[in-house]
Amino acid sequence: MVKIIMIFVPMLLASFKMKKYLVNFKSMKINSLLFCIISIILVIHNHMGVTCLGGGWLNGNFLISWDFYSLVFLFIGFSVTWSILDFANWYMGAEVKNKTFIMFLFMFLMFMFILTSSINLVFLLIGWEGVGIMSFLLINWWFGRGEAGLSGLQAMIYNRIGDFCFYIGIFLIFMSGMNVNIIGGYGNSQILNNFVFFFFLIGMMAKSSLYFFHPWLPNAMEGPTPVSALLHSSTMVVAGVYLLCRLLGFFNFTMMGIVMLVGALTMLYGSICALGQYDMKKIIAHSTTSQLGLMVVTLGFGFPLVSFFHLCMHAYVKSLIFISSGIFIHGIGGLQDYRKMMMGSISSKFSKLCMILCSLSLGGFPFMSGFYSKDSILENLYGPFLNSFGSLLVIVGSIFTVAYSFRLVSLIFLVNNNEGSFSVKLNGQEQLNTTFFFMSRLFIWGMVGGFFTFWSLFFIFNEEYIGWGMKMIPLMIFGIGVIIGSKIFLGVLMEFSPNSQLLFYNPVIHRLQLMLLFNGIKFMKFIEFWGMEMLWVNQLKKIPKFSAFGKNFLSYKNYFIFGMFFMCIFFLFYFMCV
Amino acid sequence: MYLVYLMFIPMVFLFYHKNFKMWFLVYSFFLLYSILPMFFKTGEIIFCNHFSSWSGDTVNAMLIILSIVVIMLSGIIMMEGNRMNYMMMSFYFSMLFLVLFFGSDDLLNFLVFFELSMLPIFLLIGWWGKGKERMFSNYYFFLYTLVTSLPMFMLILKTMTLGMESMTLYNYYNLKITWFMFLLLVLGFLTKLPIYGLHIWLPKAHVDAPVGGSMVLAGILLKIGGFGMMRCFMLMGEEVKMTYSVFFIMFLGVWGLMFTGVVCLRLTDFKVIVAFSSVSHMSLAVAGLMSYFYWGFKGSYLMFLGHGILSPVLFFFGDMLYKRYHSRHINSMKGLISSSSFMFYLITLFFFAMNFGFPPFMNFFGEIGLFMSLLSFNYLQALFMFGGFLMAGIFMLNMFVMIGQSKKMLFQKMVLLNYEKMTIFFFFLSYIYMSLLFSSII
Repeated sequence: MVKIIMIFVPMLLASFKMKKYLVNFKSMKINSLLFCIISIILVIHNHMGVTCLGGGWLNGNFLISWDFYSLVFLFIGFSVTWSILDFANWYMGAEVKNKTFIMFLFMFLMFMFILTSSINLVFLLIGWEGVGIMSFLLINWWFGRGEAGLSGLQAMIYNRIGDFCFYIGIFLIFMSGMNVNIIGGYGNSQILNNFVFFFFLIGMMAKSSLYFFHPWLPNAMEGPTPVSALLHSSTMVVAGVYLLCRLLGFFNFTMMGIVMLVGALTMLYGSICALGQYDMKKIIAHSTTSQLGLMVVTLGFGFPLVSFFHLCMHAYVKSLIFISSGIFIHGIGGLQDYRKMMMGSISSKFSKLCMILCSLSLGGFPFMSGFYSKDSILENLYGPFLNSFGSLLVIVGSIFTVAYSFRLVSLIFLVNNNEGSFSVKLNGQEQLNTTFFFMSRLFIWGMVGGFFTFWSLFFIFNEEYIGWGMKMIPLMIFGIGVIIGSKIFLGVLMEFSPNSQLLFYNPVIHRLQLMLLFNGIKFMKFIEFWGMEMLWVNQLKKIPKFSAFGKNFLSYKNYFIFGMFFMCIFFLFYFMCV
Repeated sequence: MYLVYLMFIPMVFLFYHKNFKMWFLVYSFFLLYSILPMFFKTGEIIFCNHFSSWSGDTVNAMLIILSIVVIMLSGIIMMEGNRMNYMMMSFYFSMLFLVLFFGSDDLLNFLVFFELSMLPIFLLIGWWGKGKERMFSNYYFFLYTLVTSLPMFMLILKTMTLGMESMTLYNYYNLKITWFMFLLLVLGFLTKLPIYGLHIWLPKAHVDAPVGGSMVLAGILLKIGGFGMMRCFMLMGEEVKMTYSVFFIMFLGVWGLMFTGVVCLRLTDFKVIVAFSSVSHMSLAVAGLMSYFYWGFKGSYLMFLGHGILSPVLFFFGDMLYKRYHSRHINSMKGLISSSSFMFYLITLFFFAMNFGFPPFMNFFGEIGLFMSLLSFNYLQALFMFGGFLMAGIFMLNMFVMIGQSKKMLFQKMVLLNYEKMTIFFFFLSYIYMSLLFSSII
């Protein structure tokens, strides 16, 4: 285990230098470049990876494996984090504890890499829970705010429900005699009970904020924007999807159907919720939920590599959207409500460009990154699938994706609403030395990354031959989505209350839980009273107060009777035993 | 190992010395270093023969080390502020009795020191506690332990008259154990642990005890029960798992895991919350022991060790907060993040998180072992375990959020004093050290 820790030491050393909390960005760049080079070399030459063994508990080894998924994720994690650290340095530059913030981001990244590199499921939990705790710390960063604390707590609680199911899954694997190491990635055809991975699926649902465990993600937008960009769009919420990619070879037919349904439901739900929000970050959060649903649907159809590809491209695009929104938020003084942002300002052209083009990329505009992943998904859906309901939901979800993206973009940039809301000009947000470089890195990846990686790294897709009509469906999705988005922004869904916008999930589930809890307490108190207190306390109450020494001789009879009573019982049992 | 007895004699003469703290530390460390080699000799039992009364094997060694560490630090904390030195006699005697208890080879030694180790806490609560209710707490504490350990007393005397007086030499005694006999034998240890049904003495004792007393009680005195249970299993053998009382105890343990967690959400006194979290951890540990699987044993052992370090730290935090905010009510301590340093905030979160099983430390592996063994025994316990696992995380984090969030409420910045830093650092290091080297514990 010491050897494993040594691998992550350069990253830690990069953060702890001689002065307190001083973070050296140059070492971060060097780290990321090194890992880029290593990963590309290892992956291109032979699609094999590195496995390291270490001493461990549970009669197993703490295996980490840097195979295709791990290395590509490492590369993406490092490059996205590099940009986000630059952004955080600028965004949180005036904060009181900005260096602490950056250290938290580093610690989070370390846990995330432990999660993705390990193939022993028990040691994966180190990263899993570590990522949960760091998310908690980062969501309630602004500790004066009550909603932030509650949101962090909510995230941890939902994660914890999933963690327990994860534990049960590990237990079932132990009981069925298998090893808890996942070796070989996808394609491992071991015959297992489908019940086992149901629990893992629940764990992943809680971590990745899929349908039944989704409420924590929109509330996690209480954290600062770099946190949203890193954790809740690129790395943490994809932990579940990543694990599902790894474990997909073990799922049988029924399980994959369930996976697909869950993903389709999430996708639809996220898209619908995003159409009615007025808080910019919440729209993007719901968008993340919906994209995760899309990734899970592709896994349900049996294409882990395509899903992983979409995961990677989504990371770049989504984090850039978050960064742009962060620039706007900073520009108008901390407001997140886009109704205050309707303007035609020209001081933020690069952010505007990024936001528009990234939204288009996410929607699947031809030949941008999102197109390659989404088009692969949509094309492969018409191949060997058995459930047209799922693919229908994917198409509808994609339409809504385009719809809400278009709505967001048009409401910020294309509408000049001077009456009723004050229009604000962003002043001096974008200088060349502050925001340009990190945004441009992500931007390039978001635009042409798909093109380059599709023909190099992800070139092992099976080709599907589909007709002309099917081929045009992604474009038609795009067009229909634009039409729907432009219609809806005229005010159809904007008038509803927050509860109805989120389709009443939160109040129902939360109040139900509280009801169960309080009734449970009543039940417990009932049992405690009649079970324990009636036996013991009536006797103990006869003990007089401490002032009885020497005053009431008669009160000693209570001690005597009490003692004799128990002595008789014990002697009785004793003679019975022996 | 009669040196253990002789080593403590000079300390009696040093009670009124000017630098008593130094001498206390010197003797504690000396004892610690003399026992530390035992920890590395795995598989052997040292000083084990027909004429020994004190022996040490791996199970013993870690608990002895834990007891020395916890009592040493609790003593130092109690001595701050120029308190009376003769109170240290109770810490001194508790260290003596516990070291002799954990290493005891004779059944008679075992019994005598089991009962005697209760006495220093009785004195601490009664003489140096605050509030009139401490007398009730004392009564509860004393009577619960004495009454429930009476049958064990008699059974031990009976076995000794039959000629089997050593705990380490013989493996299984081939006694015919009926279900009520097992229950009565083990009842004493269950109250000490405490298990859920016999737990009400613990919150009272913790609230009325001073800091050092709480730390010693939570850190090591609760483990006496667990250790006794492990020895009982060694004495009784495999017949135990056929007795029906095992199911009842396991049910109590698992039920307690859930409902102590639920109760903690509504409590307002910091010490009572930590006491109930102790109850939940120990109930789970004893339930795992009862399942008679190897992982249950290992899990409960790791749980004892982990909890033995974390609980004193939590009580110490409570006392630190009490000294600053002058109240133990969690609604009165707000705004810790803004008034304290970053390091303190992080370490607080670290300890709170380790309490509910944060990997890769000891509590996590303990919980995994216990969960696996309990689920192997009967998978229907998963419901209670789920509730307990969830509630443990919720109430710990809830308490952390309530203490930490909000704007600055203290009129000055919260500065940690030297001895506080030393205590936290020492516990932190020992926990990490133990967690990373657990391969040698196993």
